[in-house]
Amino acid sequence: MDDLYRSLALLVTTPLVPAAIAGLVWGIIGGALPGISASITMALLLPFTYGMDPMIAIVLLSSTYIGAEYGGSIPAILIRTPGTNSAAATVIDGYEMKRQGKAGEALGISLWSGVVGSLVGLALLVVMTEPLSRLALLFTPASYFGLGILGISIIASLSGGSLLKGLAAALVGLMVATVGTDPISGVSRFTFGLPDLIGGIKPILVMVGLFAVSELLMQSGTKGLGTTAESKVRIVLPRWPMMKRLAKPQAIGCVTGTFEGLMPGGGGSIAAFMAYNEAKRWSSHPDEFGKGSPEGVAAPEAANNTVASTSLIPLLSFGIPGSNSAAVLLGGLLIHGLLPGPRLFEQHNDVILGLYTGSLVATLAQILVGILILPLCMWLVNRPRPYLAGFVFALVLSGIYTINATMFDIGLVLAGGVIGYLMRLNDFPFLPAVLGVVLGPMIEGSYRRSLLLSGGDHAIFIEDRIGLGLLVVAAIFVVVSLTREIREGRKLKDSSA
Amino acid sequence: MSAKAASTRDGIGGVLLLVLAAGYYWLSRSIPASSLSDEVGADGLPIMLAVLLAVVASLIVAKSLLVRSRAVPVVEASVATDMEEAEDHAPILRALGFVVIGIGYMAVAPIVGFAVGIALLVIAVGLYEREALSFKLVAVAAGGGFGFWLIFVLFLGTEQPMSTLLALLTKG
Repeated sequence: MDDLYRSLALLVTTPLVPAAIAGLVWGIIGGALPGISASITMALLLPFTYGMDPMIAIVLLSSTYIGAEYGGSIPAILIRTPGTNSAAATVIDGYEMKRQGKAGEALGISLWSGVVGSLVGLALLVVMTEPLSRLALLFTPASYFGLGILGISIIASLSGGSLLKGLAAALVGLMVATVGTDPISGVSRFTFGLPDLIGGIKPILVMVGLFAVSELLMQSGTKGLGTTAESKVRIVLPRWPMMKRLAKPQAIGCVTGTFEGLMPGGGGSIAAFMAYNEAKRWSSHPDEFGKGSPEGVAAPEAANNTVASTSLIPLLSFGIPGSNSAAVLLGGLLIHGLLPGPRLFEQHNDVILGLYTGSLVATLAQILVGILILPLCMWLVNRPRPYLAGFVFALVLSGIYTINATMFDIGLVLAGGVIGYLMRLNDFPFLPAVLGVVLGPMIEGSYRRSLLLSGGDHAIFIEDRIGLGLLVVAAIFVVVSLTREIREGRKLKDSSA
Repeated sequence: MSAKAASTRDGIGGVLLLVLAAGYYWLSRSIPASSLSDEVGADGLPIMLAVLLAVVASLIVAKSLLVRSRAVPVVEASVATDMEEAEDHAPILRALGFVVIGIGYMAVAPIVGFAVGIALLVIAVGLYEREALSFKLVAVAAGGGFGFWLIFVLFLGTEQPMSTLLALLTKG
């Protein structure tokens, strides 16, 4: 009850509501622009949160995530191009509905299902996060070391593509994290005498470089969409009979969204496709799927919006982000010196309360803002690509400069962009690298602290039961993933023979 | 992309990672020891990471060689792969051009200032993305530069590059 009063107080005593709405608007716009994913939209905003109050900054970022998940469905429905990866499943029936002259209805279903998914995800976030985070109170430095290794192993195994590439990306990320002053001895490492590197390479620079700049480089020289969105579409929210029909696919979407959100490396796109398939299987009108089924829009949209909240559960409890967007939010927390885990709930309860309240405000405001902002989104989607690319690039460079007011950071971000571009070309996943940079200091710190406690005896990692358990699970993930890869390689060989 | 082309890329990627691991190892060995250091030392984790990366990179190279050796030697396929590989260079060069524009901003913005720097950046990206130089492009870029200055400098109060040129002119 006390928390409820404090939440209400936050609404009137802090700029939480404007921050939630601003984040939502920014998220919908960013999500609606094809090629700008939810994580990129958040990464573009990240530098500007530096000077903000921590609670407001986190509300802004989480609302952006919520908005981007809905925004991605706008071009998916109107021009058959998903604005974000997680909106790819929405294209199938959303665009068919648009072809049948029901674009407004499809957008309305997407918006309504997004709100339902966000509310369910938010409820789970509130209920599950704090109890889970209490587990972390039992953790010793050796357990934290195990947790860091587990996080990186799971992400490397599940973030798509080859396990070896995932592990290589994670190792490179860990290497980047070693740049700067050694926290124990004070010795400079890999700074090449440059004062700008003494403090290390901030994860935010890596994130903006890998996510935003590499995307600009990928899109360089590509032609625009070639199709334009109709500017006269108006959102039509579903009426009661339709709401009842959508309840089942939305429930399916929420279940798959919860599962995928909790699983590191899952993400909105897998959840959306899983929800689409399950909704079709359980539907009383399966024949309508692929031909403009409202259920085919509702299930994936409910799923990816649920993920936007549930992926924050492992992040806030243990500091393990399950998706790119959650990794950017982790960057936002770290910028303000907020370390996920039980102490975050004890020492910065206002930030957590603000995050929950702000997310609720953003979710409820989504209906009105979604309707009002649609014309602006369609106008932006129809702008020529060279102009959009120019302004996104300008936003990246000015945002990065605000952090330390140094051109050196811009150079680092451009270098990160080139590395990200090369990683994309060679199908190396980003998330392990980002996680390596973010978790690097924790892994090294807990490893060295453990050895200090044990007098240099590595047996401490076996004697600590939690740590050992986490390391065993990490090893299982790697072995299973490797076995699967070998099996798939054999299958491919057999089929080509 | 064909399996052969993909494996070639993987192989090159693996070799680059091996070079990175070797360079990182060499730099790690030159990290000075400190009397304040613990048993692991400031170079402990870096050396471990370099060795692990070398192992993973070697496995990537080995896997790519294995895939290449298993690839079906069809003449047409190899011709297509060669063409694919040649075409692959164009987007890389285009992307590098984009980076050069960013470096240009780093050099020019401190001289001309934030607003003009942003306007020039938008024009440069527009031209690079094959938009014709027109009054519209210049006007949009100028409006963008002013808008960015209004939002980031005046409204948000963030630090942005100041014009040394303007400072010189006003001094003079």
